[in-house]
Amino acid sequence: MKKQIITATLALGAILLGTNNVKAQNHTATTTVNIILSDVISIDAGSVANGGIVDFNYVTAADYNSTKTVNVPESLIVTSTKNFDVKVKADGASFTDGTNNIPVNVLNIKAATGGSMAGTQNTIELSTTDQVLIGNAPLGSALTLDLDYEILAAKSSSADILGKPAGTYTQTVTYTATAL
Amino acid sequence: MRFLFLLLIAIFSTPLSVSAQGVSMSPTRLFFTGNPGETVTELVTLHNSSNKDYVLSVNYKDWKRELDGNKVYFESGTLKNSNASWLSTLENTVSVAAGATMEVLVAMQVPEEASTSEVTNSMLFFTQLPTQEDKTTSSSTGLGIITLFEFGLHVYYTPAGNKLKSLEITNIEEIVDAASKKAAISITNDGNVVNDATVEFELINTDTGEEIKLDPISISMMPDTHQVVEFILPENLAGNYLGVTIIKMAGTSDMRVGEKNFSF
Repeated sequence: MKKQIITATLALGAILLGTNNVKAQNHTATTTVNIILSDVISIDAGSVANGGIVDFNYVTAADYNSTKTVNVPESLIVTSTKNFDVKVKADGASFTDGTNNIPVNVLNIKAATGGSMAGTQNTIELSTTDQVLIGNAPLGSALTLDLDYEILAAKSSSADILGKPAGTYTQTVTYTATAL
Repeated sequence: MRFLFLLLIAIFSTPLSVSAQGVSMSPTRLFFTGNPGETVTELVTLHNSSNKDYVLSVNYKDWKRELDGNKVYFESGTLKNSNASWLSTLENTVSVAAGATMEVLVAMQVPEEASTSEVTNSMLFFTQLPTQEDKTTSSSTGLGIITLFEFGLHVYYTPAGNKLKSLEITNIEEIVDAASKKAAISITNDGNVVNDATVEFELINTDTGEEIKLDPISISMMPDTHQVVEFILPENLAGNYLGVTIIKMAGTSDMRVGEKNFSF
């Protein structure tokens, strides 16, 4: 066993040091190296703002009388070779259970502290109109944005939410990334 | 012995497994040029490096910028300089399987009656379509927010004869509001092409020579448009300062310089 460990260690050393032992050759050759850069923008599919679900549960009286915030770290992870912005919109005017509706403007979305994505950060009241969540964010790789989803007590204790039949009310929220 | 080999494998394979797991679009802007009556094409590459399949819908909107540079969208075909109706793709939806790369051919048919001097634009969106799985994994009671993503691809048409790249500084002023003091630089694109530029601003204390450089701001402007770029000034400034703004335009060594005296 000891012999095997020594053999493996020597092999590892040879791998790591091997590049130093390459003998210089007397031939010369020139190679043209082209680096072709294209603009690209990407959204990380591992992030929650990508087919993900954010749930608010209202079960007790206290739930309805308090502001609820759901923090979603790394909601968006963007890589962009140019400055960019992120907008957000709801795809419909209401959260719906199929029959009953809750207006989408009960929900606020804001950038939470902690992410690496800079730019002008806004708090928006959700609507079907595109609104700027992050404006003119500097380019970068794997930039993270942590989001707070918030429903104020004033909304949850109002007829917008209070008194609605029990059920799951859903709506789609779309994040749009575009170059500056 | 087995443990040692596993350790070696782990050491050598780790850097390879660190890679972005997302959906990417390249390029982020399409610039078409051609003559009226011609059909021109460009390729857009979508790559899915995640382990989930995606279906994206293709749709178009008009857009223009507000004075602060923010893009505002409108229904396609409603703005005067819209080229949304000139655009087409072979499919209205694009399926990008996990690990796959798709190339989407975007064709622009420049109408016979298209202006030979006016730049037109629109935005092509690739919008994630929710799957049944997305819709059914929400909680049993309460509000469920299904989050999706979308890419906006700038599309510009520049007539073949348009080559003039120029910006003009039309005003520099101080704006004081409750939250902060700002220097506002008004800029007009008096050229006839889309112009990307970096706007720099620095304050020089005319008594002490002290220089304060602020972070530059990137802009992109259509011809015949105006934009106001605002720099938030440091707090507690006192004395006489010379404010200097420099606009560096991409793709040229040409620049614009403006100055204004400030007293705080």
